[in-house]
Amino acid sequence: MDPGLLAQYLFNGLMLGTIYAIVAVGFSLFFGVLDVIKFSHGDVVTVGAFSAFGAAGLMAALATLSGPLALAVGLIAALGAGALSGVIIGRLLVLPLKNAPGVNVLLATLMAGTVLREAIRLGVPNGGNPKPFPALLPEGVLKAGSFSVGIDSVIILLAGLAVVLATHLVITRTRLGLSIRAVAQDEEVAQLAGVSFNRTVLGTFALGSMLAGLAGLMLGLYYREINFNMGVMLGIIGFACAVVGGLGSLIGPIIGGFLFAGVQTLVTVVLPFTSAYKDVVAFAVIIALIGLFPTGLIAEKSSERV
Amino acid sequence: MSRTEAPRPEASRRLSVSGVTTGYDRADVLHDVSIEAKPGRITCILGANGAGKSTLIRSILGLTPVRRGSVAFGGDTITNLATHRIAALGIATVPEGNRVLPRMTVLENLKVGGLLEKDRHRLAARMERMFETFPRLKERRNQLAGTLSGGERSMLSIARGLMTDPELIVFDEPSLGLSPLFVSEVFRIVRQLKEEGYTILLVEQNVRQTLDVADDGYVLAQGRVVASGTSAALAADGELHKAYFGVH
Repeated sequence: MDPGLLAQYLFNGLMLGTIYAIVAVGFSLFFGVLDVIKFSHGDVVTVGAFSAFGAAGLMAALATLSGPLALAVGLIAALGAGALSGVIIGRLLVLPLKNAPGVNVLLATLMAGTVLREAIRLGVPNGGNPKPFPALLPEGVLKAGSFSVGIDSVIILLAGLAVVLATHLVITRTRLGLSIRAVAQDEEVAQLAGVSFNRTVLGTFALGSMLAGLAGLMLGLYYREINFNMGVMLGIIGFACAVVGGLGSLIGPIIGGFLFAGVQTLVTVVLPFTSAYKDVVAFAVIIALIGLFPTGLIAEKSSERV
Repeated sequence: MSRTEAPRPEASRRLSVSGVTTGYDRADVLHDVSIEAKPGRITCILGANGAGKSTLIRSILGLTPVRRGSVAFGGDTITNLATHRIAALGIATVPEGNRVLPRMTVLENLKVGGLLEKDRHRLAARMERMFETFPRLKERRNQLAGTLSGGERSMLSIARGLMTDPELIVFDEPSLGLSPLFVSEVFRIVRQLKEEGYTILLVEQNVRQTLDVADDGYVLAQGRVVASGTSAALAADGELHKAYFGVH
């Protein structure tokens, strides 16, 4: 195969892996701290994308904005809307169901995800159709032989990797991270040491959902198109990555994200005629891995569960 | 050693449990229990398994809802207050089984205890003091707490409690599961903490050593206080021993 084309595939795989990892980390954080699956997580990605879309569009209508400023507005909107929806879902649906079976939370958040999705479809003008996402990043193409990549894509990838690293630092180095890990490991011991359970849970939901909002912005910037149901598949993929990597761990879902994207890319490269089946193959691999490693690739015992 | 933190002021607040009734589901586990832990003293709560000792502790700490009665610490009513708020008022707990945060290092466990303190210098000084008191923890500070021995866990659990800079320390059956050597060590630490000015509430099944170290005591049976007094008086009460602790 042409090395340039191969590099192209590789780049795309890395990008997808980063986005999957960012979404999967959220699932893992929520599970770690509260042992719940928040199934509205994928739709929070959509909320982030549409908030950035709306905010950047609105600002552009009011005043001519320079690229970086419009980007900043979009970024703040995506992070803010993500965090806000996470906190609201946590406060209204998850904390009140704390002593109920986990399935109830799963169901309640699944419904909440549908509410978010439908609200976007019905609330946004012509919301049922794909929306062109504005190009907020610098234009231009980097070329090396037959490999060419947009500067915007490079920025998105580097920013995504930086966010994964930053999340790790937040969890391991900050007071919030220390509280999150303490509550995840023994919520009573954490509270006896003065850690507020509710605040920590809501902080976790804000952090994880902020990441989802960011993933929405990244997808919009990368594909230049957003869609009211873009979060559905991404939510399922993110959840699968978290489970196969080790739900509750931090590094597990990151590995899971890159693994999933790696399989998708490999299928496309090695068996180009089956590339339409790349998700089928990737999910089949996930199912096989879950069978082989029921507690995730990063077993809880040896990993640093958040 | 340089001390940026002033020496602890003498404990001055009293813990008062008044007429507390608590239960799970429909059954009451505690019936109209009243106890006091006086400042600067060691107060013990004795009783067999299932007497309601742990439920009493959980009621004080806001972990099990109180149905009737009240709990006060100094001038604050803490009945059914959120657990972390009770901790912030100056009540530290060494929980049953000397629980630690297993997948965090020794150092991180201590940092969790220090989350209430916002002042970096005071925090550093307190951490240094813990390592001075428990040199073993210093040696193992980068080790995961889950890999520590039982005795080391109990040291860590105590040190994590001290990191919150409490006035009252609640020990919930600290000797449970420890070797006799470590049990003596824990009682030595409890005595030392009292000398440093802390108020101690000690819940135990180990009657002899507990009465030996405590100033005041209460005996719980079937969720009620059946005897109380100075520990000397309780130790001398032969009938009590026959009835509740088995004959010696």
